[in-house]
Amino acid sequence: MNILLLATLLTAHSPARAEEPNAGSPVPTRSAVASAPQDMTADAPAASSDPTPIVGPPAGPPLSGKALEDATRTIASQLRCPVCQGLSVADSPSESAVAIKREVERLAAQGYTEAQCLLYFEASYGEFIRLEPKAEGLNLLVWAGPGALLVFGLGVIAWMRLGNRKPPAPRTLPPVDPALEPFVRQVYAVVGEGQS
Amino acid sequence: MKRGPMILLGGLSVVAVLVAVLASGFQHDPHEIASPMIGKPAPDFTLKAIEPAADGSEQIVKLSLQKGHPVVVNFWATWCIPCQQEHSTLLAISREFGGAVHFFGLVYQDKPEAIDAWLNSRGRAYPTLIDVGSQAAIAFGVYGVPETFVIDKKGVIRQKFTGGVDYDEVSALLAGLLKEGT
Repeated sequence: MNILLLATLLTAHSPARAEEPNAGSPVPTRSAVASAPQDMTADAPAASSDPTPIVGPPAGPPLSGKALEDATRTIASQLRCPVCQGLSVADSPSESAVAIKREVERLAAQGYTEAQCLLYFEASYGEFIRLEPKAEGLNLLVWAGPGALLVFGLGVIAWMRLGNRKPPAPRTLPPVDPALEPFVRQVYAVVGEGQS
Repeated sequence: MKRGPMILLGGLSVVAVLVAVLASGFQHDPHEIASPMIGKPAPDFTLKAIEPAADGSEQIVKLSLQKGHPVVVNFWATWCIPCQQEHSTLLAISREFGGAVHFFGLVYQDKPEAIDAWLNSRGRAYPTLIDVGSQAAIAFGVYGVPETFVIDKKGVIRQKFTGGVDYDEVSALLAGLLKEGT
């Protein structure tokens, strides 16, 4: 039943080119952007989205060369590849990631800052596109949860260890015939209580 | 209280929380990612259609010029199996609403020759646009295909469908949008 459900979910929506056999392999090179296969280059006009209504005008200087490459890499490494499992856009060779990387490069070249670029992608994809969730609201659980669990675990261990150090309760002798008690005490004195 | 039962109780509490989280997660389709675009103006695009205009000239579509009509934007690709399954549904809906609703198919990460052959074998009823560099898909926040956005007469995204669309659901939505003022 579960397998059927999983199969249904998987066929109901195809992550873009997720079937690429190397979609999970890291190829963090800029050449992947430059030489990415452009299946539909032709002379068709591009969508040329304008991020200004969403994030305002570019807040930084236009970038080029090494500075643009570094900025693209930095921003792309913070964006989640939409069709991969836990890979950043910078590290994924999938077509979707390459397209997003190219868009990041275009925006950075125009002077949009790192914060503006992240905000732009978040506006269309949602916060899921951020590889690292922002430390606010419910997300704080993600950040504080592991630490809290660790402290809790250490507390439990400490409590158990300290608990073991408590002196054993005084052992009371099992009821015996009062006439035999002196002999029993002598036996305990010889063999020790621990062996009783 | 003795330590043994307390530890057992603590462990069971942790397991109960994990089970609750997992149970909650399994009730959601992992592909159903809520779109932050719903309720926001649709990102504009200007794209070339595969099909020529009525006069034989090149057909260029600008989304912002469609205001006044509900618009359906369907992202698809020939390599996407669910897209094949939903194509006939979209064709039927577009024929039902005629010119009152503008339909556009945006082809995503594909080859023009494959698109043409695919449409020739399965039929076409509305312009097929080439999303160069996936820029429109990125602007719409498309995670995969098929994804379909329904835009109202004012150019605001009203609904997003992830996976194949349902005839009745989309028809009802469009009928409602047609009744709204511009």
